[in-house]
Amino acid sequence: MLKISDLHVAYGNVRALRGIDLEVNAGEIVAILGPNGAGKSTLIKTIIGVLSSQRGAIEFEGRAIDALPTAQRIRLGIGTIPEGRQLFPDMSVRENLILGAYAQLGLLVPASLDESLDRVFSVFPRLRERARQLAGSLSGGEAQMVAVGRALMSRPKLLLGDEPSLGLAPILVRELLVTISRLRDAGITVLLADQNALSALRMADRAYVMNTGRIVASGPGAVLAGDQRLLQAYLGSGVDKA
Amino acid sequence: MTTPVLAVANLSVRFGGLRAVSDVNFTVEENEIVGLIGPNGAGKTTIFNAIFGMIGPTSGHVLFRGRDITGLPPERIAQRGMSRTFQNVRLFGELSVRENVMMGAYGAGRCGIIASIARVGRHRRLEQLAAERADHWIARLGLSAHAGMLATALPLGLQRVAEVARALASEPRLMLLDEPAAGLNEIEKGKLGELLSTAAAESGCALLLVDHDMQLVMGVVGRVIVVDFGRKIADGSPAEVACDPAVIEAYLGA
Amino acid sequence: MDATALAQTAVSGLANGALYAFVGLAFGLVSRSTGLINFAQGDLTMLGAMLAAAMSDAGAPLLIAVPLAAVGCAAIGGGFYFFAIRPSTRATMSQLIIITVGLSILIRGAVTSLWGTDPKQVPPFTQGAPIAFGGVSVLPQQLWLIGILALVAIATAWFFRRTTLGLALRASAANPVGASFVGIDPRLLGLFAFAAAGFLGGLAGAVWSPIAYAQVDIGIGIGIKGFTGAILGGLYTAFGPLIGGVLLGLFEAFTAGYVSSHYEDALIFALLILVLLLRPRGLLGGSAGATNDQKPEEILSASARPTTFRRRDIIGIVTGIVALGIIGAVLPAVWVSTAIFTGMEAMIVIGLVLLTGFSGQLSLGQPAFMMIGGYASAYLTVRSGWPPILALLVGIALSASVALIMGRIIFRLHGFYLSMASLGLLMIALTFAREWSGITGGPSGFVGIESFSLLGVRLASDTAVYYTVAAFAVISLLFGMNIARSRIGRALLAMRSSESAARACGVEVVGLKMRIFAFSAATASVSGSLYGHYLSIVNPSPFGLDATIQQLTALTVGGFLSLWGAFAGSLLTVALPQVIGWISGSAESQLIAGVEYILFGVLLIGIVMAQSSPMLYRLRRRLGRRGAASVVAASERAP
Ligand SMILES: Nc1ncnc2c1ncn2[C@@H]1O[C@H](COP(=O)(O)OP(=O)(O)OP(=O)(O)O)[C@@H](O)[C@H]1O
Ligand SMILES: Nc1ncnc2c1ncn2[C@@H]1O[C@H](COP(=O)(O)OP(=O)(O)OP(=O)(O)O)[C@@H](O)[C@H]1O
Ligand SMILES: [Mg+2]
Ligand SMILES: [Mg+2]
Repeated sequence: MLKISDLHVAYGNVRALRGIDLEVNAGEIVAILGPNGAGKSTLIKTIIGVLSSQRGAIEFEGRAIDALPTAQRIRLGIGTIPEGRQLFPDMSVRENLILGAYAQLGLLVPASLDESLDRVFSVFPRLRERARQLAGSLSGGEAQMVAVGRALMSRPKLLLGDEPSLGLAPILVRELLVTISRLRDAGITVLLADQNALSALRMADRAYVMNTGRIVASGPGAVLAGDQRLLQAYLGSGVDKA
Repeated sequence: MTTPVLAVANLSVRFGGLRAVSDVNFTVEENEIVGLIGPNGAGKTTIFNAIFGMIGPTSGHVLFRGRDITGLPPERIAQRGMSRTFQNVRLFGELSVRENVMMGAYGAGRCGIIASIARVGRHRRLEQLAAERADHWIARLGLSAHAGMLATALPLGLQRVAEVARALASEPRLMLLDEPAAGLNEIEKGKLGELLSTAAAESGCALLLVDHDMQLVMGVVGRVIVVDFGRKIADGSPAEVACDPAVIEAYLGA
Repeated sequence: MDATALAQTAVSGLANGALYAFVGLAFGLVSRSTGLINFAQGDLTMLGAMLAAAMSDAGAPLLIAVPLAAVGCAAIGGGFYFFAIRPSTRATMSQLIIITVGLSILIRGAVTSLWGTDPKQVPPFTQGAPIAFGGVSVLPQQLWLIGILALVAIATAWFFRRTTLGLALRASAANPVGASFVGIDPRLLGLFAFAAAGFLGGLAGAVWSPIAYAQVDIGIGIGIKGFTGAILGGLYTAFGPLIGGVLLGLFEAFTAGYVSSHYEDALIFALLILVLLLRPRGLLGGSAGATNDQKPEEILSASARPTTFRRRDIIGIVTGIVALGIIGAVLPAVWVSTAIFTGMEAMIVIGLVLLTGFSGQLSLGQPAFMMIGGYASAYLTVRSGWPPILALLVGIALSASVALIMGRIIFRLHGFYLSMASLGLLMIALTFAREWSGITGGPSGFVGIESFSLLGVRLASDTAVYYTVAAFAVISLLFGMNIARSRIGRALLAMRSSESAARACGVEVVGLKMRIFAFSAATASVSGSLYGHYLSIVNPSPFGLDATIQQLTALTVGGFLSLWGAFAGSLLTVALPQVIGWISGSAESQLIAGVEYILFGVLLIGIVMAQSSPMLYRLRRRLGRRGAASVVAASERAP
């Protein structure tokens, strides 16, 4: 479904990605793990088109999408939960959610959107109560729910998540993981960047381990989860020497 | 009996019709490390904001080192020896990591605009102090390789560490930490936990720690306060709280 | 006062109020969607009136002339966004606002060159006598204005709530990064907002002009009042600008009718300051609650500033002092007065570097402090026979006190309130200077001020004045340098990124801003005092908005964070009009005046663009003036 080859991205002269090759098949949950500064967020931003690459190719469902603007990538079926949530603080929860479907909307907000909203509210009932509250005044966890909900509003085929469990209470983290598996059952493919290695690995079909802009290991989630040496090496190299 | 570093009495905060915090009471003793946990939206960040003078409580009092600080602006509270980190990192984007940490020591002493213009003794001493503390905490928290970088160019995880360093540089008597470990990996969380407890012991500083990572919280703190829907529902040792049925139902999950 | 007269006043107030409401809505459109204040909004309105008048003079029917004028203004607004704002991706908010000041000057220059400064009028839409409602007569055009306004107001409110584009506009103002993640292209939206605001402004001008005459210099006043109305009602609300504008029009009509038309401007700004005190977000804006997520006030610039003294600074200062000494000795006589004015300007700009560059607060009212200094010196030396240096110090004390008091009120609020409030201060100062003739000498001011003297030594020759001004300028520079390189300078930069975090570090944000504002007021005050002594006369005329614009240009040219640049920028802005004057000989034609404005406008826009477009930034970096903190946030997709 998603195929990335030899992807290079740099910020000025800081090379954040140095040749990434990665594949995600339809119906999978794929995890990307890596210490701070490995380049996970950079990779996600490049896939959705918020950042542009210096070299390499990104294909979605067999079609090259490197040159497409973000809106068109969303229309093709990619949704994102960005790092740090990136909500619109002065707008209501409802408006934030509606904007998740922005790329697919015409001039007016159609009534049929209520159905998508209901779907999100059924996943996060708390958001229904808070639909009119300004997103900037939500608690950290509530805001994270809006970020997940907003990504679902465009009814993506591929969901990119950049640390979606950040700031959620333990109960909700478990619920989120359940939600993600349910999404997979509903036919959504998931690419998940996460620090929380073990829980991500347990859930993922496959995983890639990144370090300093490169992929250093890959394999089925369960296998990687059992690889003590790898986990140790990955978890140990906390500080990246840029 | 010594006076507690922090005493929160009948604290309530309302936002319109919403009671974000209702009638919360607790204390933090000198050198104590206390955890504050609860579900999302329970009111933890709001309690921090009210303690630190960033929002005015609807009712109730906050006593810091025996004195009433309710209604004081944050900068005064900071000058009296309290510091904090933010749930959504707020580093100074135009300053380097080292300068960010130096800012932490800003409240260590006052020096008027005239003294700053003249750059006389007082200003120089404060600058020296800030630089010393910054270098100390940067080295202590393993940020030396990044000291010259622009703070916002760090990956999220390191930004959190830099924020903790900034809060420590004020050598506070009480530090409020709002999810300092979010975005860190397991090893780093472990390191941060150790560091927090040794730093607190070294500098004689009490900690009030909010985090959703139970391993971190339970490993570091001596006592846990649990809030739900703005109310305190438990207050006790980690072991007691962990098997409190109300807490399990509201927060931990089975 | 009888009921009919009251109602009559209300009607004319309502009609002007409708104009302000229109302009306020246009301000709101741009502010809500891009976070910017479009300083040229009033001039677009003026342009709309002028275009419609010119077309109807040329024989076009109104049905064509009016829409075409509005479309013309939309094209200018959109084009301006596309060619000037959009490429300046690295600009701070203050810089972007200054670009719009450039547009304002440019429009005025173009209108002056094309049509001169004479008033023009569009014929009324429907002929016929005023309609009488029981003794109160209403012009048909007033009804047109109010009717069209009502339609536009409903349309904009609907637009922001119900259309995708409207939601997207608000989203991208609230968080441009978040907007990019949901596929919103902020550049497209900015284009739309500026074009739509141009359309609204142009339409308002064309519909309003049959009631009054349009003239090249009415734009600023309309802009200020439209903006004031919007702030009054709530800039970021759907109907706030509308209600605020109408209220302002009524207030204006009643004070002019029943209090005094002389103090009208002063009263309006007093009202504004009062409202800001009581309801900072405007009447409809709701009370300001704390939010968990804070919006950064400035777009961050990516290079870290040095915040400690370096050897280079000290070498620079010594070289500078020596150079100033030598220049004074060798400068040809014709250039000495240019150098003197440059020095006086530079003092003001040094204050602005700290105020606008470092603390991110844009002041448009520095000439007010020049007036305080100038008038204090004039009054105390001429009337009371004080020694000039004492009078100058009194001026400093007065200016600084005014700044401290005003800062205490304004800096409790976030955002760009200072720019409006300081403009208000300037209007009030100008009003008092003109009207309070017992103390200020009225429009003709004070004459016969003696030259500056120190310890009984009269410094009368041009060379002596040069050295005096140079000395004061160097002192200002040293003060400024020391502030910028001290912990205060660092705290100011910190505050710009996150005020709450700075406060949590113990920074007294309000107090610090107040002091910096007082510092900038003091340097402007000294400049004003010296100005009076040099020219031996002070009156209100040199202290208008043109002076503000010149200062902002100098600040922009020199660089927002560069104290040295203050001198370069000042030299350019002082010398340029002289050079233009020489080139054009002594021809006093309107074309020349217009061209001068156009050049200034182009200069202002061009320089901000040069400082803030990524291409040039990269070029500068390649030329290699970077320290350790060289990480670029090149996260936007290349256009
Ligand atoms: N705006 C920027 N300017 C310069 N360098 C940047 C910028 N953003 C990220 N980087 C650098 O790019 C590298 C990769 O960062 P990225 O944010 O992708 O890491 P990450 O794996 O998501 O880390 P984390 O787990 O902390 O979120 C880091 O070395 C970081 O310092
Ligand atoms: N300014 C505000 N206006 C209205 N409601 C608010 C405001 N600030 C916070 N709230 C609400 O108050 C409640 C408490 O929020 P708070 O941020 O304190 O939660 P929290 O315990 O820190 O949660 P989390 O763990 O998710 O960060 C939330 O429901 C939030 O939506
Ligand atoms: Mg990341
Ligand atoms: Mg919180």
